Amino acid sequence: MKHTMKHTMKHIADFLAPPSGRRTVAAAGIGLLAGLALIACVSDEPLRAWLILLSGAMPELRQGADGGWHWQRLVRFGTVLEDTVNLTLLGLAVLIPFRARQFALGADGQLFLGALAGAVVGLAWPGPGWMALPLAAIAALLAGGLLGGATGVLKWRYGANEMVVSLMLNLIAIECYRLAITRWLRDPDAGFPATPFLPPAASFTPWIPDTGVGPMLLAAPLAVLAVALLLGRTTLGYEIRVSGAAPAFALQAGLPVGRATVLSMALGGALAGLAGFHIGHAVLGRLPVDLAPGLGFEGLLVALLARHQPRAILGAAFFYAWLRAGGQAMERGSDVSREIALVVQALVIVLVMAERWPWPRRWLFWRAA
Amino acid sequence: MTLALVILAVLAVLRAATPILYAALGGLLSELSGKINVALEGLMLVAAFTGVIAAIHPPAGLPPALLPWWGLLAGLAAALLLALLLAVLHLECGADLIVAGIALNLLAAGLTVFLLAELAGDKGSTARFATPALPALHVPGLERWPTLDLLFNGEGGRGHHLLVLGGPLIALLAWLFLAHTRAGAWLRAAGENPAAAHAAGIPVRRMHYLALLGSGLLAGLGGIYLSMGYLTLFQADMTAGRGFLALAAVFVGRRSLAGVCGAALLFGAAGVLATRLGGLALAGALPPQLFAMLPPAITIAVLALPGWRRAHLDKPPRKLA
Amino acid sequence: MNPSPLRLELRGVGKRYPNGVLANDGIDLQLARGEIHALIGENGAGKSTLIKMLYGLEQPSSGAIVLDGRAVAFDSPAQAIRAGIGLVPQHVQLVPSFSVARNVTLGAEPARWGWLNHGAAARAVGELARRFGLAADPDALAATLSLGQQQRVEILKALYRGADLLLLDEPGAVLSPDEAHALFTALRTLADAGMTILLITHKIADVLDVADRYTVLRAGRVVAHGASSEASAPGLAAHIVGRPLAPAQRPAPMPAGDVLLRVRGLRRATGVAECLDGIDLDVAAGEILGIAGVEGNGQGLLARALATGVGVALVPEDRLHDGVAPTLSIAENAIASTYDAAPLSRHGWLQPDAIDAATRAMIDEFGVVAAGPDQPIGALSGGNMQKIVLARALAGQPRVLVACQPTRGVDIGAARFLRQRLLALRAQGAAIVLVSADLDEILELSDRIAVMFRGAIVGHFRGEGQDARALAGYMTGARRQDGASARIDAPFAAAGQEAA
Repeated sequence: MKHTMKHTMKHIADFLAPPSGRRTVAAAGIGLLAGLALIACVSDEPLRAWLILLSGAMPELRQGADGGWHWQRLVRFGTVLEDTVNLTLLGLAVLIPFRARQFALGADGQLFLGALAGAVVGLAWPGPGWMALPLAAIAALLAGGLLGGATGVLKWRYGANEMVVSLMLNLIAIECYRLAITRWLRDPDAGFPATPFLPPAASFTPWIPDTGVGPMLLAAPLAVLAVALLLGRTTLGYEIRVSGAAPAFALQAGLPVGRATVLSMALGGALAGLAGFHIGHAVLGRLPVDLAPGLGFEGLLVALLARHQPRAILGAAFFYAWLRAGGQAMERGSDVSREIALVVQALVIVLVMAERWPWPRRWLFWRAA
Repeated sequence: MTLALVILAVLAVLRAATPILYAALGGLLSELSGKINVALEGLMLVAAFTGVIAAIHPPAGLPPALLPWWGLLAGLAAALLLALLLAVLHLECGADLIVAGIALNLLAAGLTVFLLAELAGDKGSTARFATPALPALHVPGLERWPTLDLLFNGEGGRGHHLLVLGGPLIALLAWLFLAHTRAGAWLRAAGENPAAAHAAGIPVRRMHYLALLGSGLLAGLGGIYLSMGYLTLFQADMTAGRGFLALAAVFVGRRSLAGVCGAALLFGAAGVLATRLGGLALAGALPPQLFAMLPPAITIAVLALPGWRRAHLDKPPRKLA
Repeated sequence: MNPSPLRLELRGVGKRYPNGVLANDGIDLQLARGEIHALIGENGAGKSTLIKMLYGLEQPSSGAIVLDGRAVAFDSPAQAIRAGIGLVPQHVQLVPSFSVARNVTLGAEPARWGWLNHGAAARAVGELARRFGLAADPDALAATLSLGQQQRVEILKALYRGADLLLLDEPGAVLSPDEAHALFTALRTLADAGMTILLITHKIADVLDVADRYTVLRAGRVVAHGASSEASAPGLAAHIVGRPLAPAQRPAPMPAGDVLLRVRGLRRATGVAECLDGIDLDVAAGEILGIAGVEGNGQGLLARALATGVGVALVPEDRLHDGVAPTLSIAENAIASTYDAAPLSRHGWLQPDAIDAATRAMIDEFGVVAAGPDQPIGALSGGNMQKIVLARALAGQPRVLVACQPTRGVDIGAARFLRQRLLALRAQGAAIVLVSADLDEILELSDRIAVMFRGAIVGHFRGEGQDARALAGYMTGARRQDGASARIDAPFAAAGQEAA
């Protein structure tokens, strides 16, 4: 009897630690249920609030007064799509350095500088209109890439820990952004400190009206494909992966570990810069001085959710954006604040990152070794 | 007169460095045991938050004088719990230590803002509540020697906050622990050569737990100082990167107690410098953002310095082939 | 009640690892008090596993361990230590920043209420060292000691914990012949005082010189045991290998080729014990230069220093750390030296078909036992892993190969294969530097031999017809050839003289 119990428990344990996909979905489910429990502690109508959380982002098809079918809440869903693009790019920005075993936390600063660089080109480009957008995008890629590369060089040449350096560069980059907007790029007609609106040549026409969802939507799957190809099928990707998996071996085998480290962070930075470009040119149309930092960390969350696999980033980003919009809807429609979505996400990550689940008899950690 | 200014500056640096020092001592403890703790930021945050919230919701019948101590206990308990979660995730569930640390930082950030909104009704801070601070220690009878009075009792003669005084004391205790106790020797052995420690019968896993929990406790003290000393409230993102500065101090200090303490003081000084410079007369001409860039730039320079010196001052030997 | 005359008895002890490997199979062993017992067998015969089980680092999957007549089961070294068992490991495990005294007393420091008593520790260690004739300075830092001194500290550690059953894992591997002799004298003293000693070794000489009784392991099983007074070297060798040993085949001499690697005045300082102190050496095409010496005299440093160069391939000493990426597949490991050129990649794009084919060819040619190119390389045995390491080193068509401990920890079949490949490479005209702690391997394969001591070359010998005893004096630093170097035209030391 005891043996069968042990056997069943082992099966359950094995189920909880199976191939990644199944486990992440299970973890997401458990996380959401834990969210329900947490909501129940603070709300008078937990179930209703929880359901809004889950479904709030969904657009609805309703029959209007004129008898025709209309999409409702499309703008909110548009926000979900915009966020998905941002989070995909930012998640990839964290993922590439991570595969080289670098914990780069600089996506925020790279995003800000990329947005700034893109806006400068968009506002100041005197030449043919059709070149404005591609050049702005390239400027954003370069700005983010240089910042990321700087972190990499400091790590490679001087051994400076990349976690702290990238966080410090974040602060510096964000101050540069604020300085540039308040001093040199300020729109005198705007009611709050911000750049002027970007000219139409440097803007995207939205596919969903009143949202920022447009051609840049394609950037997300294309970026995922590009990164997957980079890591899996190119020599640089090979160098990055081997440097991350076994650094001593890579060095001894003559792989250019330093170069791979720097390039991994530069490429990540470039993608974060592109996210900044997306925000400036597609989503907001102008850059406010008080653009909130923190999006980079949400990209980090997405990368952790996706267990650093490019294929899973898109799904993880969408899941995150969905929950965030749902959280906002929940906050408006009930008495629960929207940060619960963040808590759920963090819980899911905690569940996902464990490799195995110990059983009660092993929890007696006080025994020797 | 200038001596007074110097003393005031030193006191300001000490105050700014205190939270970083506590967290850095915690980081050093876990690093010496072989486990790097990148969750210092989150640990500080939960301790700062829980201390204040506990003070807002004390148990019935608690005498007001004990309120700050109740907050202290609650904050430390919260930090210990988070540190325990980190330890279990890594040591029992096999999660990567750094990934787990980062994830717990994110969890702490989200959880504190969420609970702040729910329990205090305000997403920004607990400013509308009057929350206590831990007491300051005041040395009486120094009125006749103004410089000494300034040194020991600070500006306004109110004395120094308990935790500010506690910082150097805890550093001393840490040194004694690591150099002169058996547990400290076991901890260092577990970090330097876990196989040797295991073969010698040392309970290596228990040492790792102790180190991680201890680092949580120390980081918690740093966090509590922020919300119950430096200020008497909790704000969202109150720690503002101090936990990572503490981590930087551990790297810069190269696993030595003196180095870590020095680095913590340096980072505290950088912060004070930035604010003071920003307040000077010439600041009118320079944009404030420039001063805000100063502390992070100093941090980067300090982190890169040892490597720069190694690269430029030591020449590797030549070989003919 | 009479205490059982047997201090230790193993009854049918076996160990099967979770991945299916059967390391030990039905082992029976008897040790009496005050006996020195040699457990002898080749690499991979299962000796280390047995020791781990006796010390609580592993648990037997079958059979019983009986100590003084009572069955015991150790879950951890702490329990084994409490039962009076001490382990002197093959690779020293000391804490580098601790002193000798603190290392010896590690885990059982003299302390009051947790407060360390440094003075008492130093005194106790000094006393122990005097009593057993093992010289050691209690205050010296472990990082500054030579390997032989470090091993003495390990023995003191076991003695300090009150061990009366000592397990020594390949103690002679890091000692010069003289130091080994001193060690064995000390062991004899200990045994006469009532200590029981289990000596793990692969050297037949250890059995004949110091042990009272012996047990031979082969492929995880006991194949012979008895009193060493009745044993003979050929008989033991036959038991170890399982068949009469063919005499070693010396490689046919090759015509002199061009010097492919020339080193002059190589110096390295690492801040700890090992250093390189002005090395001159040449290696010519079609020859094997063997670097002999007691481990820790700079050979590893030399190998790593030589390997930085175009056209020079390295088989590194630490296979798991430097030689392979354990979590990656065999293919990903195999292409590490050739991935950035055609046919494995074009313009920065990897060609999966070419990679797969090349890896399969490698697996076939080297006889690697593996499930396929995509299997994680960490799942392979040591010997198979080393084959991939060598195959990868050779894939780049190197003109110079530096092989550092190429057959360490490798089973006998794979070792033989690897040596044959080295000879084949030599026949193709490559220059090979062979660094090995296995003197037999050096003697078997080298055209020229250079002996290293304290970071310098102290003797230069012809490989043909060389004899271990001749080299021994140079390895310990007792003899030194003036102006010794391994230049292609350097004179050979006066060899063949019997040590005084």
